Amino acid sequence: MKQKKENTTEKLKIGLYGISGCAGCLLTVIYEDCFTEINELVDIKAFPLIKEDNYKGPLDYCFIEGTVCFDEDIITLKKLRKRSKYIVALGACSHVGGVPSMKNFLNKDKVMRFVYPKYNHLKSTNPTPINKHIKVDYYLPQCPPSKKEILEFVQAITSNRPFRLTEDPVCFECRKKGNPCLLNQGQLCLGPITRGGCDALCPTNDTICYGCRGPCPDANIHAFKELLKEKGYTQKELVAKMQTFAGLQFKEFEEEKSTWLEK
Amino acid sequence: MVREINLNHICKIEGHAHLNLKIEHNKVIQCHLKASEGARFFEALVLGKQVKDVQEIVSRICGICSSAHTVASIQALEEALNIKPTRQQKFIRELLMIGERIRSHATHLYFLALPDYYNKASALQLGPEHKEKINDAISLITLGNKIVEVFGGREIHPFLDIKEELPQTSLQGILNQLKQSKPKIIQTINLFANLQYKKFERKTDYLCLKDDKNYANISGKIVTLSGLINDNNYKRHIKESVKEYATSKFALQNNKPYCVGSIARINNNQATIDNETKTIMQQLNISLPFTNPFHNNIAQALELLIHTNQAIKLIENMPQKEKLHSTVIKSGHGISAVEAPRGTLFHEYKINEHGKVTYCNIITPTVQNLNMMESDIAGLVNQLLEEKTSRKQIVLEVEKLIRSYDPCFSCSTHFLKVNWLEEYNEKTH
Repeated sequence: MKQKKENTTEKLKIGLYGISGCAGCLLTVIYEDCFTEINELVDIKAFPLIKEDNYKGPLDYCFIEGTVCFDEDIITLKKLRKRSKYIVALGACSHVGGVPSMKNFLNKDKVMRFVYPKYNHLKSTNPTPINKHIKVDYYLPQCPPSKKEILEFVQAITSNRPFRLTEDPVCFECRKKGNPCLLNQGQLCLGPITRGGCDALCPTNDTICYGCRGPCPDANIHAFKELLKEKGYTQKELVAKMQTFAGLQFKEFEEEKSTWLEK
Repeated sequence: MVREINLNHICKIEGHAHLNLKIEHNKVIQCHLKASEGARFFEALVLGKQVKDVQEIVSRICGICSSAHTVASIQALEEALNIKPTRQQKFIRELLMIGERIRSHATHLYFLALPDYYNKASALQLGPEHKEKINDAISLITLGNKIVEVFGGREIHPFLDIKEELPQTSLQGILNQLKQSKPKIIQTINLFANLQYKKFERKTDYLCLKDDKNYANISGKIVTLSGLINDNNYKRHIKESVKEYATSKFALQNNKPYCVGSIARINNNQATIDNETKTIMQQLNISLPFTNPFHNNIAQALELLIHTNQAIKLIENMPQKEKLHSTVIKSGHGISAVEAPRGTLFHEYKINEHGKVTYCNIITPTVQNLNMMESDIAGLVNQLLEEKTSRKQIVLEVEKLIRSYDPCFSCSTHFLKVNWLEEYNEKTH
């Protein structure tokens, strides 16, 4: 059924898709008031989670949730890239790999030996964020993503305003809220090296920051490591925490910084 | 001649799935429901992790039932560490599950299931005459979200560290909202009880938790029509297997397909359904047990009321704050079964003396329903072929059937790993 033209010509064409993931990011979009507002601001052309007749043509913005976990995901991504002016990585999985990307740090030989030969129909790839396969224009980080940030993003693109993520670490917002410091209480919190913008949600709920928004641009991981060493943590413990959501990105970030320092 | 029906990318379900049907001489000879999600290997991801980090990881299995994964993992680990939860902790968990159930059922009923019955492609296309329904749905989802947020810190992937004190003011607010939402819920029951469902009856077994006093959510005995299952024995009765064509696992109970979810809970827990719900069922001539899988929609609508009444009762009798038991790390083995929105969810862990996970097994509701879904799809298509239904109508009815199960393919797909993990552990221990 075609919708009336005057309603749609002005609005940006949006698609919301998921590859291997938990659907939490897409649900965040439909939960509560932010959906009604988004639905008014843009034209949701494709959204297979809740729609049957999904538009197959070109999109202005395509939101993608999930981690690349097998070949079909890559095919889906490439098709979506071709159709879309801008790709928006929605949520931690799509942005930094998320929890599934932890598999990259497991002993693959062991995994392979036990997975095959019995399940050789399973074509699993190394779980990776979507920017390893296609060009990504915008990121909406966090697991699950922040409703406020999603709405801000949609408001920005519909009114031609720039959209920027904060560059401050989680600690910045955490201190502002007056939370007691979890690191000082003897918990391995990744707040100092993680990009803020989440309003320090986890530390506010007595839970350490697991770094789901990835490293903040100014993160000094080297100094953080030294600090943790003083506090009696081993390198292994820190790395295990960093691998929970954004292991790949923290690793890349560290490597880039060290080559930059050498230069 | 062999005819094939292929449904690629079934929409309005959680996750990605395809259906492949082969038909010969007007009979279904093959029915494959393929989850096409990449495997995420969750059970392997928690190996070697500290007890404290497990919940943060496994809640990411599913965005819809993250509270269920959270509660199941915490309870299984508590059992392993020999910790008894306080009354307040149980109270918080119950409400977390109830909030999640309300929003999950409301989302499924209105956004995923309902459009089919009005021949619309999505809830967004329901005309202005249905606007009130969508507003009802959104207000129920909002209520569920609010409950999860108050007790779990955020709407999806909740925290389960018990707060010092629960905020009294927001509990009063929730209580009022629960009471105010009842007319909407009763309308929902009326709406879904009066939809035109395909007549399709079959016998099967239903599995869920059962408690003598309450409509069970987080604890109880595991019951089926054929009897009790001991928690520790669940693996002897429920066997998971991998099929060549899918990335999800398929479970059988005593070698037979069975059903979990709202329909199983209502069928097995008739004694603990509250009086208000019972009266409404009588008024609407709803008789139990349900034998038509399409009626899972009615079961979910009824559960909205059951759980709302349950939540009101819980909050009105809120337990006093108690001192938390201290955690002493030791080696151990724990299993927990809880009722997720879509059915019984099992979590099992073994931990070593350093508090690190050495074994993990998770069986999700959709994995348990998949065999039954395949068998029901085949049965329904056979019936429709006999009735000389048009191909287009067959596809439509099959889609309705799949949706009425409210499957979650994200959940069903990480579990490929179960078998190799078992082998892995058997070989290394």
